[in-house]
Amino acid sequence: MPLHIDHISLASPNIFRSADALCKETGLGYWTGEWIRDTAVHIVPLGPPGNFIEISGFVDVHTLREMDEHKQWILDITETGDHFNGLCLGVDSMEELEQFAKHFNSTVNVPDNPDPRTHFQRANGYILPMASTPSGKRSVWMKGLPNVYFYPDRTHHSSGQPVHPCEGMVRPTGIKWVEYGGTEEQMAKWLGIPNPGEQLKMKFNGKSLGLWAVCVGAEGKPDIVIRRPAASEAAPVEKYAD
Amino acid sequence: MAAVLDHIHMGSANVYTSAYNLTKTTGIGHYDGGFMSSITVGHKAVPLGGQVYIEIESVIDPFAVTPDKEPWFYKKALKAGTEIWSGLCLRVDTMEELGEIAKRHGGTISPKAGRRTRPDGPGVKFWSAPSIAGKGSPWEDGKPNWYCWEDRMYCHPSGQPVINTPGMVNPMGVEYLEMGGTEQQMADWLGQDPATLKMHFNGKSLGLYAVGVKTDTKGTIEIRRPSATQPL
Repeated sequence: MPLHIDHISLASPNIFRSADALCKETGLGYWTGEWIRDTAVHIVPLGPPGNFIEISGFVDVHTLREMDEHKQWILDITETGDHFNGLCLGVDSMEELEQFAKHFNSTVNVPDNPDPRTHFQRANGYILPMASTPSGKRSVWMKGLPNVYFYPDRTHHSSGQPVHPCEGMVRPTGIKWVEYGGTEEQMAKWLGIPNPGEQLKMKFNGKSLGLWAVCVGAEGKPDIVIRRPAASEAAPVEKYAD
Repeated sequence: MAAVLDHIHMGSANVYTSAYNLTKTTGIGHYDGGFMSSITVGHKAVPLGGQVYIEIESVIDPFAVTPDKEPWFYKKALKAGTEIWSGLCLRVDTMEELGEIAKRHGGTISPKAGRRTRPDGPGVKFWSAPSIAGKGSPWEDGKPNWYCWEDRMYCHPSGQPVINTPGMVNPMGVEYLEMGGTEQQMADWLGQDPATLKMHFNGKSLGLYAVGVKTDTKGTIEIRRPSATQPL
């Protein structure tokens, strides 16, 4: 599979409420229990070939008394509710990921960092190994740009885990398209590929960079469009630029 | 009918860390219980067997409460630097029994039912007592309170499946509760013999200090945390 969409991050002021509301709004189920330090995610699988939304937010609010730039960004983009704050692409090999790292003039965040505090872990302690690029102190999400992931073992991928049952549940059949800010030319330049719109099922709306909507197929039901503002609407990318 | 132990409240600064560490150190599993009606508090449940469970709760919404409005158990846990035992919750079968208990303590049944939204849908609804005008929860004084569930004991939190975890044990009920104060103080508050609740007393300030849980493979596991009433 060439470069593809892997997952989407939805920043939330309250992941419990947001996951419950999204489930009631769409019939998409979710699973719970994954966290890293002061942040947790509720995961909404979107179907094949392995897509999901991670609804992420702080669960240890006391840690916010010691602020840093990333925490401030999350607060900025969640103060007025949920915002899409990350588009996460995927490749199938470390070689491909390294090529992207080279293109980004960066390095790869390795999947086997021995510091357990650098990994999301599930409620049973399982850590899903993943590598990503670009690395760096400031996430490219803060600029409204996607990053790229590689999972050495996808058998425990977040998109394939069982969800809590909910009323009116639907079976998702995968992402049909995403609506992104900016232009296709900007995205082509960032990713170094000629036609990201077609390859990644992206439509561009010319607004500020970032994800604005995702359309998900549902078995036997109309397509589901999940529309939330991009993080860049709440925190302009210039605020976190050098 | 005499009240029975229903659940034990553990105040925490981070429900994820607390639940994970409790499972890791004891082998007793937990599951995600969703969020309370106030929406500010997240919940993890730890079934102990015998229709009893621990509920671990902390604030999970940075915008919902200002530091001065945070729940008292959360502040205590922060101050203690660890989880605390914040409340002991007994159960009666009927609202009539709950009303009688409330009356005996000069209060009423809480005017609003407590609610919790589970990740898998059906909400959890319960009533508690005593609610006494001008006074905080009995928990803050280290005293148990009483609960009555709507007719849903078949899906009581103590009976829900836990997350499968390496090294798990099968909890088979509470063997003992180590309480502060004296047996007489507790008997006066409860209106029943504390021995029926497997309580023994250490003479310290009121409140819960430790829970002994019988397990299938590891004997009795003791879970000890500071009591909410302990000076910190």
